[in-house]
Amino acid sequence: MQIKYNLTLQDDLDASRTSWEYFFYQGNIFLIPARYFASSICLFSVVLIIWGVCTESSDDAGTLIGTGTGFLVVGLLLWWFYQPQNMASINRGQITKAWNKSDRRLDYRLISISPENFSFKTANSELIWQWQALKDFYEGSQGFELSFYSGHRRCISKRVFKEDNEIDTFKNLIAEYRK
Amino acid sequence: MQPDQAYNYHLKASDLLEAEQLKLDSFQPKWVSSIAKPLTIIYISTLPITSLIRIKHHDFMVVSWIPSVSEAIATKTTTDYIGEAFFMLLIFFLVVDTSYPKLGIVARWKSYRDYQKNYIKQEPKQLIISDHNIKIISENLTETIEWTGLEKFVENKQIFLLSCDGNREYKIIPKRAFTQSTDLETFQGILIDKINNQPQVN
Repeated sequence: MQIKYNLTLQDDLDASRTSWEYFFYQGNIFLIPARYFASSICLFSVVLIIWGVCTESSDDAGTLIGTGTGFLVVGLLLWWFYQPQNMASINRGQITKAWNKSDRRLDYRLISISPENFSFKTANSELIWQWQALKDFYEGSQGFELSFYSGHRRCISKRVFKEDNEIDTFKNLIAEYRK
Repeated sequence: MQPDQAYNYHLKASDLLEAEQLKLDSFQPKWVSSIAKPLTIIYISTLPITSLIRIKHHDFMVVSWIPSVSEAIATKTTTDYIGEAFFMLLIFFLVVDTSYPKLGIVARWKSYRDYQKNYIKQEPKQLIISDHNIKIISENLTETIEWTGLEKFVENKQIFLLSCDGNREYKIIPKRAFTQSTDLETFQGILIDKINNQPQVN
């Protein structure tokens, strides 16, 4: 089976959504503070400040607001330093901005599935995995996520399948060849 | 270096850690990594230190010009300061971990776990450099990347880090793959020539 399509912004948005769905499916919800460490500190500091503003005792209010402001400065600095890694996968506007800046609109994807291997080809690269390298296969609402024992992840948007039976064929082939 | 000559290597968990550090450094403007980040670390480090000193001397560096804050700090108990110091230390270690993965405990553990969980990273690899592309071949994965698909490269003493696909993916090539220094220099020259980028030695 071969699937060839030109890359669009929708693919990136679907990939982001599928990635998040997969993240929750894996039960990683408690890791969100770790994954978004800087944002978590910002949120924590805002909570402290609001708590301080709502507190009647001026002693506690001063401590809460003071500590909250300190953490907010640190959180904002960290958030700013690590923004490329931290927020890229959550912000639709940022995905669109990154798409517009990149030259990926000229790119294509050619996915080949054979009994021997799974191949993922772009204009500039080709990755061929043996089937035993496939770690996990997940179906989200907008696409499929494949994760490999090489640390790579690939998302295939459902829009690339012209008909519903193509999706079934794709899923059946993966299920058949996966070891 | 002969055309299409193969270089064999094994990736190590420490290479992944080196790559994490290089990624951070190469993403950020020079002034951020050399000025802003160290200043933040210094500021953050003062918080647990202050809390630790206040366990003994409750009024250490109490801000006297904000009466409510100074009174609140001065009336805290020793247990409050111990708890605060632990919390501040935790924040300090997390910030160090995020800023300097090579010094961090969590980042070190994450790299080791990533290496252990993804067994293809442990497989022996073969690097083949040609005029059009580079190939990295292991038992379960064959990667072919055209030179035009590589956007940037950075290096340190241990590894080359090549970025592709809009900095979404990185290829790590340890320098120990090149057993002869002339081959290493030739490869550096090829990277500069093909990726059209000056190396940034960190």
